[in-house]
Amino acid sequence: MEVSFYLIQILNGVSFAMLLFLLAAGLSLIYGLMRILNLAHGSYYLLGAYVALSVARGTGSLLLAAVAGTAVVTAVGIFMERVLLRRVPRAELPQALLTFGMLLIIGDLALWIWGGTPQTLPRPEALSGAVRVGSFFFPAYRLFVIGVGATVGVALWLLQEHTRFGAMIRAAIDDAEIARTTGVNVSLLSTVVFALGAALAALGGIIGGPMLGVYPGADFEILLLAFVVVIIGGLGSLKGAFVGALLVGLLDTFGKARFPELALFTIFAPMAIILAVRPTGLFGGR
Amino acid sequence: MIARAGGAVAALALLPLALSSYQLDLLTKMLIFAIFAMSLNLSLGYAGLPSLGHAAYFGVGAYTVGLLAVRVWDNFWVDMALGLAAAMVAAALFGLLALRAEGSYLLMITLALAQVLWGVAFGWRWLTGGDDGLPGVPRPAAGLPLSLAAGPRFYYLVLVCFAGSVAVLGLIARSPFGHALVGIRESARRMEVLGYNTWLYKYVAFVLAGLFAGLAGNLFVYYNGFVSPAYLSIVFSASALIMVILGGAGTLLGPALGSAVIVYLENAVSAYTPRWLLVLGVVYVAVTLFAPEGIVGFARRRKTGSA
Amino acid sequence: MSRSLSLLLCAVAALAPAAALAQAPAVKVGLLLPYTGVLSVQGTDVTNGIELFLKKVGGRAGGREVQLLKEDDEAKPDVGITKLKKLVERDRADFLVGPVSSVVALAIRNYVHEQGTPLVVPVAFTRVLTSPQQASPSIFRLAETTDQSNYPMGAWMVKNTKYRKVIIMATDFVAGRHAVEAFMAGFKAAGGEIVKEIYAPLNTPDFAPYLAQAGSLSADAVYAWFAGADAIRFVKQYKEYGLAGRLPLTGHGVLTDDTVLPAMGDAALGIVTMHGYSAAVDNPENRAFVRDYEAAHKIWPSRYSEGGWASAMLIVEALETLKGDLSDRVRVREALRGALARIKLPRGAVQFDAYRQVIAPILVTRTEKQGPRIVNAVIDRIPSVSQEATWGWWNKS
Repeated sequence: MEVSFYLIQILNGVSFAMLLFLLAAGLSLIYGLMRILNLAHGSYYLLGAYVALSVARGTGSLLLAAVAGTAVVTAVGIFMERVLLRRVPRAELPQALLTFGMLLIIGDLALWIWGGTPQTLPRPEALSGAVRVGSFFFPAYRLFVIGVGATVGVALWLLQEHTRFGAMIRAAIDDAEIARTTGVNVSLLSTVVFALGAALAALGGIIGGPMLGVYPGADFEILLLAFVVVIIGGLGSLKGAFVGALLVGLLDTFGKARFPELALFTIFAPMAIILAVRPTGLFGGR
Repeated sequence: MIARAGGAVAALALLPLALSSYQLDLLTKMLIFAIFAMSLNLSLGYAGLPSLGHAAYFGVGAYTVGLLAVRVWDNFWVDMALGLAAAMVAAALFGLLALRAEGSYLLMITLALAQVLWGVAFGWRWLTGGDDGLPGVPRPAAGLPLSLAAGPRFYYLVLVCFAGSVAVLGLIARSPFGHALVGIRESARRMEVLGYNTWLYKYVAFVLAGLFAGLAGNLFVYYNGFVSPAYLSIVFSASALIMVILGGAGTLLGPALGSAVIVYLENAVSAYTPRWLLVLGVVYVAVTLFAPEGIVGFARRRKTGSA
Repeated sequence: MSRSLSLLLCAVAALAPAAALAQAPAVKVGLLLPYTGVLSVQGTDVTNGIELFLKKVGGRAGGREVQLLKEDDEAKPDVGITKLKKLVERDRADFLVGPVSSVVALAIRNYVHEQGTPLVVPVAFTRVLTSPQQASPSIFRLAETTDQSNYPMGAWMVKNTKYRKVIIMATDFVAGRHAVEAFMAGFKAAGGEIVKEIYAPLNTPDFAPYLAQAGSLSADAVYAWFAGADAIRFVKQYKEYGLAGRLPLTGHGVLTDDTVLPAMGDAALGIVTMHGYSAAVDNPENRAFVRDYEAAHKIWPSRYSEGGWASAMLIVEALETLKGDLSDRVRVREALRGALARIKLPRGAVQFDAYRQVIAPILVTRTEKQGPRIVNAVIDRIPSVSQEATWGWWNKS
């Protein structure tokens, strides 16, 4: 097979990985700080995409659609954290039931409002073309997705390592009690991080909508993939989310290209193997 | 306690006289899922091992019975025994791998293992029928003069299995083994210091949980008359998990109650509104807000009056 | 005294049958369809078709009111069985319509056969359901099987196009496999050659690896089977990766059916597929149907809507023949069987074969723009395709 074939596959894998990263980053951050496994994360993806779709259809502005989608989902996220999750004991099981309930509620409301017909989000004219790679074409939009993912990754890393805000998060992750005594408002921090995670998931939906489409059940599908990434990378680690996403994206793409008969295993078999060797994921602490 | 249990069993035994065939059918489904949920409870509620892949053992039992009944030899005792054995073997093998992890990682590795099985059932079409599944599994003829095919008789078979499961799981819970499991769930470190082989205790609990899940799977195949990869899917695993949490993890009958509530809601609500998923979601959120230890946990707390 | 009494008795006797009829209980039609999940749009479309037809006939047939009972089977076999038991045992449905999913159809087959409640199948297309081994006197199917649509397409392609070397791309599950198997059998029997078979798992988000593989082979065309969101992604990515220009895309109707066509945009132009129904069919019944449907729902009907409409039409015609008398199941079945020959479906003239499977025309279509919308314009018609004609290669009994 010629070089350009492999290059195309790598670009495919990376573009898919960037989408997964947007979701996994939010999920991992939320877990890292608050030890909450947010099953409604898939709903954020779905809702972001649907709201953006409606706003894009109504106003014709994709920028406005992106902003609206992110804003609505962030509001939902803040509501869930402040109003619901705080009323629930800090234990995995009640949180799982609560967030699962929200997943069902948002999913069914979406079915009610937008119907069951699968939709795709429109993409900007400027990004509708294809770039020539050897004897193959590669959609320009996917290069955009890679760009967005990389930018977000760098921004998050800078935030975590080089800002006071990031320092506060790292302190709160290490030990919330002591962080509080040094004046860190852990409560506000939790809400902000949760909102950030939700916004990232919404962005994933808005960016991914033109590529993957949005339809009933998309929330479950993306949630499962995001969990695989987060687990492989290690819960609570941003680096892990990035590396895990790349691993899953590339493994999935190459696995399907080389061994199409084993396509169903290309994600779960590597996960089982990685967990067997490193039971806390690649970069997970606890 | 025994008297109350006996009374409950007697009440359940008399119900076929009062219920319609459809209602009895629904109750049978509730009991089968109660066994499934209680089996997960042993691993999750007592031993503290969360699993999102419990349907693996449910499905392995189901496929074994289904394949044997349709392709090899339709003998109730043999098929059931082999189904239970297969489920136990699967749990024994998967447990070795899964128990290397903890918490959310354990949750995901159990999911991964179940998904691998699901993929096999889905893809190995000539053996399992693929996603079409294997229809045509007859109701059991247990070698007794009566066939167990008719509704009430099959219900009694399931009821016997349910009562037996409750009895055995109750004994386990009250035994030193059960208490050790709870101790390990609360603090494995402390138990280790006391000299317990915590891994072995967890492993045995995991395998027993797989055995009872296999029992539920066996019954489900006979109940529906077919087996499909759906029985191995994350949907079934998640259902069991939700039933345990809703009813009360770590309580003996909480999961059974959770099963009854969810099977009822899934079937009754859709007759009144197409928004039954919304209703289900609201119920989950409400239970979490007002009864976070589950329904039975909540009732227990109210009774003892503690905060 | 005795005369007025006898007059009274005569009056009562004269009124009684009318009173009995006026109070005859409603005919209950149970719908077993997916209302949630990925197939929900198909379930909703079928229901829309049924309700639209019933509204047209005033909600009554054979002198009785027709009542619809809707149950969500979620496209899951175990849920389907439970909801079906509810419809049959608790609600005492007189007729059943459904399902959409072939998996559910196979799971409920034995129960329907045992219970004897007549089932009209509007969508589920598994070839197994009406094969000699599995066909049941209680099951009447109005949808063509995967064989009936895919097998003749193979011969058509050799006869009417220059494509002799074809790449197969399909979803790797029973429905997809059965569909392309039938096409391959027909295509090879007519002298064509299959270059490669490429299968993707269900709900593949990214077809890129498969498209790259296809793009690297030498062939005349691609024959594809993908459904729902998979179809949308496949067709769009087919264009994005530059295959649309150099490798013509053909496939089964599910690839371009009216529920997914709007979401594909211009990527969907020029695709040759075949269907049992297209909203662009030009006959008076269909024009009226499309007009009524669009007035009620603002969009064109899909094959699922037509399946629902046809099912309702069949049941209503049977009820009229029986004059509402459903006491004898054998007569009910005969009425259903006979009704098909008398009704005019939007898709054209059809009849039942020996196994109560429809013998229908297959329409070959090409997607093109007509005004503001993209439609499956009919370019050819393969008349009277029966399931028996397509059995030769898989059902050797």
